[in-house]
Amino acid sequence: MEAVIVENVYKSYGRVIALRGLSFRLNQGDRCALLGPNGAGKSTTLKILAGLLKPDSGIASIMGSEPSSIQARSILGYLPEDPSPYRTLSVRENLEYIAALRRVPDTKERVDRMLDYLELREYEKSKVSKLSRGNVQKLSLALSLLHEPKVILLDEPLNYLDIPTQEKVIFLLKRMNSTMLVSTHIMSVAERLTEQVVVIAKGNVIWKGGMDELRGISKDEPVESIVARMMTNAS
Amino acid sequence: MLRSLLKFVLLTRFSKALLAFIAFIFVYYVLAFSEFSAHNFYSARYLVVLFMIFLFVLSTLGGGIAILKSDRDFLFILPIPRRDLAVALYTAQLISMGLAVFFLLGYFYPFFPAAIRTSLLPLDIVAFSISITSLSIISFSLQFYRRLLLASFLSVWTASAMLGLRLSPAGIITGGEYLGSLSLVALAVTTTPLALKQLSSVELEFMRSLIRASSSDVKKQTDFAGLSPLRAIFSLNFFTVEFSGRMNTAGFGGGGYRSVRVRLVLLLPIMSLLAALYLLLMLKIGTFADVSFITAIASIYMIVFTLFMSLGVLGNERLWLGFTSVNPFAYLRYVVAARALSVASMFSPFAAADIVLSLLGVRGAINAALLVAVVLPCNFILVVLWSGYVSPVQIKEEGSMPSQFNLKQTLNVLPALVSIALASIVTVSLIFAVIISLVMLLSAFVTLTNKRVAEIIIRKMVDNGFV
Repeated sequence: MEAVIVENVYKSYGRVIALRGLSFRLNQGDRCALLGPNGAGKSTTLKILAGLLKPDSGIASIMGSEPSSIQARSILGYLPEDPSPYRTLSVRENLEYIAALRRVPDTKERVDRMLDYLELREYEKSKVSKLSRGNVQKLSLALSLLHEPKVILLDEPLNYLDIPTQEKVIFLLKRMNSTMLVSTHIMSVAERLTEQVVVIAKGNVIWKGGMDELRGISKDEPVESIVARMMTNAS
Repeated sequence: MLRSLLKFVLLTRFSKALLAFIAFIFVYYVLAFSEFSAHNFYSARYLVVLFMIFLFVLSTLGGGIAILKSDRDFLFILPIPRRDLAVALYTAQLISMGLAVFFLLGYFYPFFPAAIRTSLLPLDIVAFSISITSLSIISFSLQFYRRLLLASFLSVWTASAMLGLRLSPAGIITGGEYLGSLSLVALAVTTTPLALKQLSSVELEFMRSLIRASSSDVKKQTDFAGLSPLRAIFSLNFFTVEFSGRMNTAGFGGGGYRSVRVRLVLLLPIMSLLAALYLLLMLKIGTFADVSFITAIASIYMIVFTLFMSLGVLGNERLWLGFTSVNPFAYLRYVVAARALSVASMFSPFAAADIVLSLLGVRGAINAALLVAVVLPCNFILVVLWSGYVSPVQIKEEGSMPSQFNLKQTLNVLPALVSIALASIVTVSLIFAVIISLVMLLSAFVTLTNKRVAEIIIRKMVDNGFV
């Protein structure tokens, strides 16, 4: 079964058209980078797949279910760009609250594991509003991965993280064997986390294929230049 | 430099439509003042004192400088004269706080005798506007207990006019208008230099307020482990009460949001104590006076309290967490219902006091019980859903303004004004009280359970940049 389907999706905000017939599919276990210039429609695509926005037309599905359905929500993990957990709750309260909403078994053990792995233990009683931006990002990652989702949507997941934590998060994500769609501007992040690439511009797919295929387009130039040329040509 | 800075500061904090609206109201009041004839001064004097206390309390407890996050990142580091910056920020603050005096107290202008209206009253209004503006700035970086002390002192000083003390900010109602004006002018003259001094080092004050705002740890952790989704939602939203600041009536309100979480079990004894005092007061005066005035005062305070409890319900929500973990419509419904039940529980000692008064034969007490137990919680639901429908604003950071003040946001306060109107109607007759209670109950239920309403609110939250 295909884990993610985006088929001929249109979405506009008033007069601004964000997506114009966007289509791509991911099989179970695929790890795909979603690349595109600013305003290409990457965040809108993720919001539609997370069930926070409804497309004006077209189909979006997660494991065969509508993104807003209970079935899709229970297997989906979503991390938006610049995420903000509940500010008035502590780190542990945030994790336990979301675990309870998601009916996660062994909450205490899982929360403890996450706190230790992401080195948040010393901040477990701290209010989120008092955390540094890097620790907020760590907590946000923990919140989106706590229920071990089968499909993960990540918008710039390594933002604000120090290098050792970036390595830890990359290791954790790779170990999870989940289907992953990662929106990012940083090619090195895409190369470390994913094997496939969908490049979008002006709300439509302009290129898709494997990461090796992308590198193979021109062996004389870095992959960043190849992607930049694609985006420039599309605009 | 000052002119362009002033223009920049005002246009980044207020939408042009809102500034035009404020200017229109201002001109209307000034012109209308000269046309009104005097009404019954005696009936208005209590309300004048009440509103003055309300504004003092709001500016000291709920105050904050109208600054944006981008000010901290860009404006404050520019090489501009600090004096110009202080004047520009003070002007913005005057518009967001001080002009409230015109909107709230301007109503009572025609109640004053003609001789006062044309002589000392305009001076009082200006001095009072400047005072609450300056107090809102001074209290910005004060610790909570100091703000509480300041608010209590100003409340008692203002209320002392009711006992005939002439040297009081509300001295004008005692007939001792000169001493009243002197009090207000003295307050303005004392507080304004302090406020301007604070604004000239606004970047330091801003950081100090963030550090002092609250402790970094949650002292009593809520244990959600093993709870069902519904119980977790109620555990968070029913058993803890959250107060968030900013009101925006025609631009009026503190600049930044502050959110405070208090456990319901800690709040209930305090509310019970206040309800007991209310009961004693009513028993004392209920035998020889019309108690509807006291009921109205208590109701207005409860409505304002309810408004502060409603402001953070959606503002502190996180779409990517709560709304993606369970069915979003059910989540919204349960969160709002849990908060409304929390409001009802918090005010239940007052409802109980009113029932006791009613059993003791105090006229109008049962109406007040219906108001507290039914109308207020239902109104809370409508205020929250209405604010989500009109213009939801997410609170992403403490201290700074979450968004520009705009005309649309002023509509948020409409249900609160409706409930103040309802509170006065409910006290008139029992039949009205019953009918209004039933209508409010039905309206709240229908709105809360309507999937279309929930859909629109969630869509607007996404559109308004909620994460």
